[in-house]
Amino acid sequence: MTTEKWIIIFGAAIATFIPRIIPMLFFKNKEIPPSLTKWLSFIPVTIFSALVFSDLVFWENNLSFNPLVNLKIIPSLIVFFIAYKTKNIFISMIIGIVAIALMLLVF
Amino acid sequence: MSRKDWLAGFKKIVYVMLSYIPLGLACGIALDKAGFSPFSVMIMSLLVFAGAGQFMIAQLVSVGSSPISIIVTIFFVNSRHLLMSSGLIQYLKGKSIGFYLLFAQTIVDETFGTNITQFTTNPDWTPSKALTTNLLAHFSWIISSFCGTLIGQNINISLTVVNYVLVAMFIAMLVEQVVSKVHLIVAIISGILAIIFKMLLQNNISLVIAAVIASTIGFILSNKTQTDQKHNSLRGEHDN
Repeated sequence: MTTEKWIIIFGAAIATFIPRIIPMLFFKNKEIPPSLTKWLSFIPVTIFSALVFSDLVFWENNLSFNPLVNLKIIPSLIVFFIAYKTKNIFISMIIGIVAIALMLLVF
Repeated sequence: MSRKDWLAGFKKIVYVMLSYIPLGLACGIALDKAGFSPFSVMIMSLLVFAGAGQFMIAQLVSVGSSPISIIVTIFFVNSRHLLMSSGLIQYLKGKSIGFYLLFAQTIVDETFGTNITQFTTNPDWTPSKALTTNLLAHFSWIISSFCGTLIGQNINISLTVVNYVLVAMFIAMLVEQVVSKVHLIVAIISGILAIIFKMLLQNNISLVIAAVIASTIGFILSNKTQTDQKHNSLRGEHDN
């Protein structure tokens, strides 16, 4: 394997570690201001929504809301419903995976 | 970390560990195809620990991108961990530097989602238990991606299904986080912004921009509803 690949590995290690560690070291001995805590309380919901929707509506790199083209849409609606009803991540995932596999088989 | 901590952590993270098996295998296969040796993939999974990021490394190497452009891209792909780390630190006060280094290295979307839910809803959740979930997930990722390189191209798995494992998990984690009307509004705004910025920027920094704007809107909305409530209760007292 070339040195170039090792440079990529160690460079990526540093690049991924910096955003993970900086807030920890910065705030470990400081009180976080209440307004920042409040702002941060929205981060989980906004991050996961951004992650989900920026994947969900793209099919083969094209924006598509057509459930017969973008085969992720129907399984995802099912997963939303199951997750809301059961509050169980594992069951929701399994049903979602079965649903997308069925969609790929049928279409 | 006691045995009890590991067991409690395992119970909460086991579905993530299982989901990492197909993902890790697929990632190992992709990296093997791009010319990374099994040993180097193990080191990469240990030091980088970023699912989407490592898939991207495989893709960028195979199209011949330069190391520096790959490293910068990975930085932007994972810059969202800055927000996750900031969100978790309030639950991890007064720990040793070693704890922070280890915890920070093992923050990923899945461990963040698991831990933030536990810290906000489970009074028995502790930093030690949180660290065990992180380490167990990391372990599963290292082993699965390493095994992927050994399997190599001998196996044919549908990438669409493999990628969807994470989407389904993130949907369930998102539903868990919607605890109020304001959260629901903010989630919808963030989703729409993420789509728009992704199309405009063609880069995963769009996730960070969408989350920052939507969280700020959530912050303003929740302050506003509080002031409205205060006004209403003051008015109520006055009427009485």
